Amino acid sequence: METKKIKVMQKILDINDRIASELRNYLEKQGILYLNMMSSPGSGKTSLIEKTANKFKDSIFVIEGDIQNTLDAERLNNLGIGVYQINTGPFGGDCHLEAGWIKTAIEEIDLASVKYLFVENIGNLVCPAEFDIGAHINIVILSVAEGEDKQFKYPLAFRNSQLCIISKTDLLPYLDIDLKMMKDNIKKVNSQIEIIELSTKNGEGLSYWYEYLTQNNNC
Amino acid sequence: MHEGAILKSVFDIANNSRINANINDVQKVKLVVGKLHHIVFQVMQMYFNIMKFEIIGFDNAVLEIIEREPIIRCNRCGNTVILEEANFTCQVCNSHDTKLVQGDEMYIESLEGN
Ligand SMILES: Nc1nc2c(ncn2[C@@H]2O[C@H](COP(=O)(O)OP(=O)(O)O)[C@@H](O)[C@H]2O)c(=O)[nH]1
Ligand SMILES: [Mg+2]
Ligand SMILES: [Zn+2]
Repeated sequence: METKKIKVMQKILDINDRIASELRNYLEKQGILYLNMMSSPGSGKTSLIEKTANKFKDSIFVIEGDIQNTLDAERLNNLGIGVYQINTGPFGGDCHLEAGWIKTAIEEIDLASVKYLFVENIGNLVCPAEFDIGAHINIVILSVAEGEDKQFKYPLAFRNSQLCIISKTDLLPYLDIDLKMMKDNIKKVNSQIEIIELSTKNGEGLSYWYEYLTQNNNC
Repeated sequence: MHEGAILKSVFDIANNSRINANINDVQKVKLVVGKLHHIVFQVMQMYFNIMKFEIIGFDNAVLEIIEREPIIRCNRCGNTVILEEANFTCQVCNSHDTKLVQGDEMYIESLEGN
């Protein structure tokens, strides 16, 4: 029998990308700013969400991605912040979130008073960068303790983000890191990316972050 | 790792194409993947050779992956280079204004079988 060759030419993550676009449009229409936080474990995602929720109160909702446990969700819940937990354990322990899972979550959440929807993505800079979840702003967080070269190792996370937060600036006096080189390197990977330096510990830079959130929420 | 999730999408799309093209026995699935993606080809092959037996028509299929180098072109001086590391600044004129012309694609190119 003759072998057939069929041209397919279809993006592998086509369906994910389509759901992501739907989410992006839907939440924009609802007047909700949708932010996706990506970082290595321990860079300070949950700490920053805690601070932000203190400031913005009920207008914040958080979707937590975790492979197994619910510790971060409990941390936020104890502060009275609305949280929805997605455990990827049942999906085979995936190290990322997909647009379809967020869509399912959103169908169960009461978003009436929400102005800011945060997703704390799963802690690594590899897998989350591959999957568009439809956020209006992708944020990559890098703590000053992580060194000057991470953006070269994980370029996709930096290419696909609009904002880079350099966290834990209170630690700078104890480290040899060259902050200027770190920022220059980030711009080499993505010249368009905005950078905010902050510390949730001593509070420096947080006002720029709050301003960024307010400015980008155009309602 | 996310190779399993990516292959799940590959099989969904490939199986639709298989049915539409009236192919009963797929021999090859060909992907094009840019180097900017963090995808380990050995892991892809390993998963492919496990997952293929769960879908009708793919028992004899092999996976071929064409890798694409990341290439940038400078919008100021026109210099076009293959990226050795993820530095998207033009090495000739130092401009940040560069465009990625290849290297972030990830698609199914074709299917072969009878
Ligand atoms: N020194 C310092 N430590 C911080 C800061 N932000 C977070 N941490 C600490 O870093 C650790 C990890 O923070 P967490 O918010 O859980 O990170 P996540 O894994 O990205 O959610 C915790 O022990 C925090 O107390 C900061 O601005 N400065
Ligand atoms: Mg956390
Ligand atoms: Zn140039």
